[in-house]
Amino acid sequence: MLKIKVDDKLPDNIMKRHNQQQDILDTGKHYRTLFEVSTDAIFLIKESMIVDCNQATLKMFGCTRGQIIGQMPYRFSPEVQPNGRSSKIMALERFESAYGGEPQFFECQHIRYDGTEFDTEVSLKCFELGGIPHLLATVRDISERKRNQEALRESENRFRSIIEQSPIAISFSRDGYIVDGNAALLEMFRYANIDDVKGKPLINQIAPQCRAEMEDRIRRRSQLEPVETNYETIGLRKDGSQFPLYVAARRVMYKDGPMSTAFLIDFTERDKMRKSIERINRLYKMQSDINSANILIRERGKLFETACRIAVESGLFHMAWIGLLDRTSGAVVPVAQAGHVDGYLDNFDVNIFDETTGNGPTGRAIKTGSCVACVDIVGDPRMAPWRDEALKRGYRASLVSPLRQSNQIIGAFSLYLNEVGALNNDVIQLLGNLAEDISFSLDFIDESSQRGQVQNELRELTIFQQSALESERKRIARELHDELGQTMTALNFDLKWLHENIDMQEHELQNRLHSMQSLLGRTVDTVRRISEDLRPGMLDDLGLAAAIEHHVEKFSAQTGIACDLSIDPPELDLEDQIATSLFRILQESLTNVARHSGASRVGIDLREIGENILLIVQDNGRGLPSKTDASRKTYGLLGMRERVKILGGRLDVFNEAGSGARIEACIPKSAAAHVKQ
Amino acid sequence: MIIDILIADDHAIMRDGLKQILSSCADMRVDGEAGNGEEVLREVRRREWNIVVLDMSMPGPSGLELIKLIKAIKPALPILILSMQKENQYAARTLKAGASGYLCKDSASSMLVSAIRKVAAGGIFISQEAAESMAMGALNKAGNAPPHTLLSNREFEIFESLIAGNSVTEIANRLNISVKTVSTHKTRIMQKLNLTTVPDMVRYAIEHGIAKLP
Repeated sequence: MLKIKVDDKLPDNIMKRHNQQQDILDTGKHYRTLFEVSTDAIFLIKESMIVDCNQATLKMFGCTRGQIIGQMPYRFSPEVQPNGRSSKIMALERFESAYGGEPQFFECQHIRYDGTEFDTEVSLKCFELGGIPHLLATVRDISERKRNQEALRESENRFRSIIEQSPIAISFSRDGYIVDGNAALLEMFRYANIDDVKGKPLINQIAPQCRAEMEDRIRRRSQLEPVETNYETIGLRKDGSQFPLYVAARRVMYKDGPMSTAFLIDFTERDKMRKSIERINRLYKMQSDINSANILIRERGKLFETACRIAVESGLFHMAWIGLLDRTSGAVVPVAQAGHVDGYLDNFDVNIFDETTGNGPTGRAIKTGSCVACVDIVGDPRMAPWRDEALKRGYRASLVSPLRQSNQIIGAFSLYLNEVGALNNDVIQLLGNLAEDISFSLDFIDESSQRGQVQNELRELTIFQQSALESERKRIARELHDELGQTMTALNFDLKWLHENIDMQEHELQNRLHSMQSLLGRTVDTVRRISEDLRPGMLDDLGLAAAIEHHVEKFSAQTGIACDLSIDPPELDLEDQIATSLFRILQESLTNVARHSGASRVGIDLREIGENILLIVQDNGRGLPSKTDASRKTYGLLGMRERVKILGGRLDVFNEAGSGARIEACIPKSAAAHVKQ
Repeated sequence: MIIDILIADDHAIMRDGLKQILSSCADMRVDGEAGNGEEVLREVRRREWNIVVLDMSMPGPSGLELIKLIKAIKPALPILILSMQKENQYAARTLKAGASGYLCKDSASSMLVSAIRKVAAGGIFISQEAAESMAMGALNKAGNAPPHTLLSNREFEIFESLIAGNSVTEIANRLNISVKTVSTHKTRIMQKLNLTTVPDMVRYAIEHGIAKLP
């Protein structure tokens, strides 16, 4: 039993009442000291009233002795405790229990004299003082501890809520059984309550086909074998659906043993992304394929076909087609297609002037000049006229890009997919670019075909000029040779007759006639030479072999350059144009040999080999000047090249090591056939 | 015996000149004239002639073609070609086509009569010059060089490498030129030799002693 000495500062009325106990208090003087030095508030309660208290009490409650002695203790409590109960009732109950011999120990809130609240721990014990039961109350300020506890709880809650609210599913498991998990985990697997998974094997959330692998992983981990901590598997939801699942598992030691903490991520979205990236990559490949095709293809129809084919082969498209707009009728006519067409375009009807068919994706693309995406054919009202046929063939989405040529829309490139959801902005933009690339190629084809046309026209003009020149030369040569030559020759006969029938004594007349005859003979020779130079009559009369033979003989005689001529077979039956060209090439070559080569010998070989005629002129001179100092224009060579090119042949001019210049002309025998106009 | 002569020339003045030259010969009779190819053929079909004196170029069928046509109708009918052309090539080729003589009109006034007599008698008449040239030509044409002589040095080098079993790439590396160039050469070699495969080339090389059998 605790005996407490109450000092003389106690209020008078209490003093009076407790006078008889004075001696007892005196004997407990050292208790008094103890009473005073305690940091806890200690006070005595008699009949629910505070009758004594220590210094610490005054300090704790911020009041004077006068303000506290004689007060009911619940005066220093708020009206209502944090648990909602009335402080007075609680106090009286506690007092009663304490008086009944049950020491009380409880937490309760108090208020200081100034009204501020603080948490305390209270102990109440009953003892008798002078035969009267008293309560000794010890009050400890625990607001500090409370605050710490609060902070700890808050911190715990914070962590708990982080886990709980984490968008990443987290599971705690031990030996393959789930111990706990957060809301995201439940949501991921479509469970309503943690108790649906708690205490159950975590294998339940793994697709059957992946369970063996998972069990093996759990077994190895429990045997402390190394185990991959991050892996992909397939999750199984409560409803039986499966999804790609990424798991990052960590083994954590707790007081009660090791636990596996796993972070789970649903990879459905990532897989979708991956697919989308793959798709984009394929599209890029398709674009690059089509672009390389564009470079090679110089023909419109072929370009369209290739674009469609590549779209299906290297793109992701189920079907692709290109339609061209007929500006008069407004109809869009399919010109190229690839993939799963299955007759879709057979009775296809799109007319941009038509109210219905002109407002579908193709019509709109052509009319607006921009890409039209139909994300889902099922729900797109624009697809109404074609929907049934499209769905029948598995088309689920489509994309149409207008095609331009010389800034004018000429048609559309339509692509169909057999899945919904693949058309995103990236895809649409890429296809827009693709259509532009095709348009660019069309412009290029246009330009190059125009250029080609100009080239063809130039070539035709050259052919015409050459043949006109040849036939004009031929005509003049004939006129000179036949008409003039023959007439003069006939004239010569008369002169000869005169010469023979005139009196031999008429010397003067004889001399005049003789000089006339020789003058006439020289004139005939001149006419013959001029005619020959214009066009060798032999080419027409006797053919190429004879003409070459003669020309080479003449060349050799005039220049003194030895010629080795070989013609095989001896007579060549060639089209006039080929014969003329070969003759002119030889003529030009020999002229060059005589003028520039300084050669002493030249070999000429004309040969029929298979389907070709080959002419080789090889000299032993100094060779052709190197290309770098070939400043003078070699029109002769240019002319030869042009002749050969017209005939679909080939002309090679080069220096033969150690010999001299070599000219090779190779012309197909059939050439003249397709040059004839 | 009188020699019946058909004179064919598209120039009347020339025909007159020729007739005048022949008029002094009692054994010759110009009994017909033709001014173009068709007329010649018609006359040849119509009756027998001892000789046709034929101009080289006339309207309608003419020259070598006309010679062949006449010969097709009357293979034994001698033809003397009378032409403005001096060149030996004419003599050689007209004779080859079936004519028996060739005379340049320049020499007609002095040589025509003897030429007609010789040809009509079944002989051959050509100028000395033409005869020499034809003989030379026959010698020269004794044999043409084999096709591989048509190869350029570079082509022959590549040809030898190919038949030795080297690939186009190997040759390109060794000669320090592009594969494409070697391929082009290869194509031309094949073209010149009129072959299509490398084994053909090897066979050719062995046949012509360029490569020896292993």
